[in-house]
Amino acid sequence: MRPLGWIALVVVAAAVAGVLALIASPLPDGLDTTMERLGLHAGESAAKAPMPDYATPGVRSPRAATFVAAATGLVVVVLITLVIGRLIARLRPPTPTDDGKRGGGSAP
Amino acid sequence: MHIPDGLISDPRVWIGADVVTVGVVGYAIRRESRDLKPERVPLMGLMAAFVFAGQLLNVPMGVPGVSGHLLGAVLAATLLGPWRATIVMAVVIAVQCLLYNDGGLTALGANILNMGIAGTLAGFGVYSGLRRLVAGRAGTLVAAGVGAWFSVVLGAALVAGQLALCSDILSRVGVGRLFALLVGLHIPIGLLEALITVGALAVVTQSRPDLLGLRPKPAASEAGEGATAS
Repeated sequence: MRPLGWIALVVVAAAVAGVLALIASPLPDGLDTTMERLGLHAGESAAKAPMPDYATPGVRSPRAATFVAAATGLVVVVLITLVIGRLIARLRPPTPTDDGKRGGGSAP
Repeated sequence: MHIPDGLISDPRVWIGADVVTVGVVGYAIRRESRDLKPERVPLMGLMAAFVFAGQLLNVPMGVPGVSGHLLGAVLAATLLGPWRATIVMAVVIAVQCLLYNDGGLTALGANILNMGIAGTLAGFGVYSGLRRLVAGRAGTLVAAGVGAWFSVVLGAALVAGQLALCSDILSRVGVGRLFALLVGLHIPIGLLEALITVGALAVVTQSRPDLLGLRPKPAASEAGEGATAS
């Protein structure tokens, strides 16, 4: 796929993520429910997150704040995964079976 | 089942989980540094997007007042292999923690261990074991569904185990109630996991059976071109 195709795909996926976050059930999940029923509590957060609880600071409408936070997160997740994947792939020692490139120096 | 800060009250438990997680993810990276070809990286990005988006969508479960969401570990493992999937899951869970405080920073190692490592490795183990018993596309889908269900229930059991290792929690609530509630609540959530995993893989195997190591459909009719270039 062309780079433009990838960018379009990520933009669409980010929008989908934003919508999913909006239609998500607000009910507590399995662990939250367990904590409630057993009287267990979380403590103070150890670190400050830029978008705590999927809300974008400075965005007044709560729905827009959720949409933007989720869409941003999807882009961040994809970018970090691609960067880490590329870095790992770069570690791979070249093998003679690599598309006929043998004994070659560094790829451009 | 993202554990927040302060819930694991004994620091030795979350530090221990950190050590295990760093070790396993480090091993996964080392392993993949021998195998991962640059052209396989985009599929990792795609899976990361799918898992992240899927985890956003909480769905009300049959149990009143409880919701669940996709984990995605076995889905990722079937398409990427367990080690590559471990790396993808670790990225997703780390971003959820650092960007949204969804899962505490002190519990990050435990969360990656429960959802990203146990789910991918053990869930994938169940999947590949069952796959050997039942051949073909149907067998693969059933195996993935069972593995997906198992990955969620196992993750919940690990959370219960980590909480039970904290002596003050153990003395207050008891190990039985802890496991019964966490595992019990995640049995239906695991069914949701199986449903989404099988559904997604059914779509994937329709067009790209090769991604799961299945033979393409008999090329008598139209197909045959698409999957040949590897």
